Amino acid sequence: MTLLVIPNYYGRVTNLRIPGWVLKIAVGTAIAILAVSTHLFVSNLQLRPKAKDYEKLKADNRRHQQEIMRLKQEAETILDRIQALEELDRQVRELVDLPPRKGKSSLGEGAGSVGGGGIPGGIPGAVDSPSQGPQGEKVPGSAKALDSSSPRALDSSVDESSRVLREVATDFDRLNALLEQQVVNLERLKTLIISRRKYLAALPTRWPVRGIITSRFGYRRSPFGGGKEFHDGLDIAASIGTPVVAAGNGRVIFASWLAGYGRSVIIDHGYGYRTQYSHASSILVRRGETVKKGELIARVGSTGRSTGPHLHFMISVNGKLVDPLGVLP
Amino acid sequence: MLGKKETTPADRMDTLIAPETHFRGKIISRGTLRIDGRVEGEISTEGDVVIGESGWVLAQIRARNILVAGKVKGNLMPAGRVEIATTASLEGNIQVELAQ
Repeated sequence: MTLLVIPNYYGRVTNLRIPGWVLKIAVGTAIAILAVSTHLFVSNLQLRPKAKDYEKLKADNRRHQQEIMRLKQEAETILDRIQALEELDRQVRELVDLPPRKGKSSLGEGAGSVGGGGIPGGIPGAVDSPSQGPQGEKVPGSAKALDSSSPRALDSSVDESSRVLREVATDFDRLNALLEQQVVNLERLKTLIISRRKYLAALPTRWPVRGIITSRFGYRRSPFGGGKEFHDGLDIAASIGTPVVAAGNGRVIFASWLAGYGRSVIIDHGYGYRTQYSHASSILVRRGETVKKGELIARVGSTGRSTGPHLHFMISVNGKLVDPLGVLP
Repeated sequence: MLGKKETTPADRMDTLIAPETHFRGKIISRGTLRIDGRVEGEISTEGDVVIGESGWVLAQIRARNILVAGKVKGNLMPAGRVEIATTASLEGNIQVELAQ
């Protein structure tokens, strides 16, 4: 190709011979530059919104990290609360004289004294299998805060967030399990307390009548003359007609005349306990009736082999007579 | 060059007579002529005529503007102006519009 440069005045005409290949290369280069420029321009346009998204993602990420930290703290708080719950459980058990939950044998065997003076054995019929209590473990340490100013740091902070999120998810699973366990424990505790209260109500611990104790349980000099005799109960002095109440919840199994004892009432309280109220002037209940602790069952008299108006009160455990003073408060 | 000025055909410098080229005859054109060679005859164009240093014209020139830097022997009939350079050599009549 020939390129002529002709000035508009008299200057020299420049005549350039350009070989064909140069032209082709020039055109090719021009096209290439154009293509590259177009591509870069288009890329730039496409990347602009992505850059905005990126900034937004960084902000989102930072927010999420904060939320995750907050969640972790909440999880820790909840764990603390569960531990407090367990402590409460322990205290309640102590208060109602139930054995502590972890590591003790089941109550059905009546192992040891539960606490509270003189009450033998535990609660028959109630079973408490020690549950594998949850360990008071702390959730693992918090994730380190990350500076996400560079894409690589953003990547790793996203990874870190994922890791912490997974930890939080695990924590919450654990918490769920712990909470369910606690619900079960508390249900058990409730059942136990109900049983215990029933037991305590049935136990003959209410004074059937208030008065001076004129004769105790055990050996004594016979008031009728002669030598020593075994006194099988407690004599409480009271005037005729004084109300006699049941020492505990139970069922009346005898309400009639007993040789030597006069008018008598026998109550079966369950758990092996029976009480007898003798020398009454009148009986106010019938056999088969259910009575509550403190309910009126008879009136003081002097029927039967008696030297004066008093209540003769007896307690037997599993058939064996015991000293009522050891049972009554 | 990149202005919005309308380029008329007269402004197009598209005819060139290179140095050491002899032409004998009549040139009728619409654009601007540049002559660096030898022309004998007649030149009539709507545009300008530029005669370079190596130009040698033996003809009557009818054009818009005539710029002479070479040898001319003939009558010049410009519609516009005539420019004569120091290297020019002119022999003939110049017929112009009344100069202001």
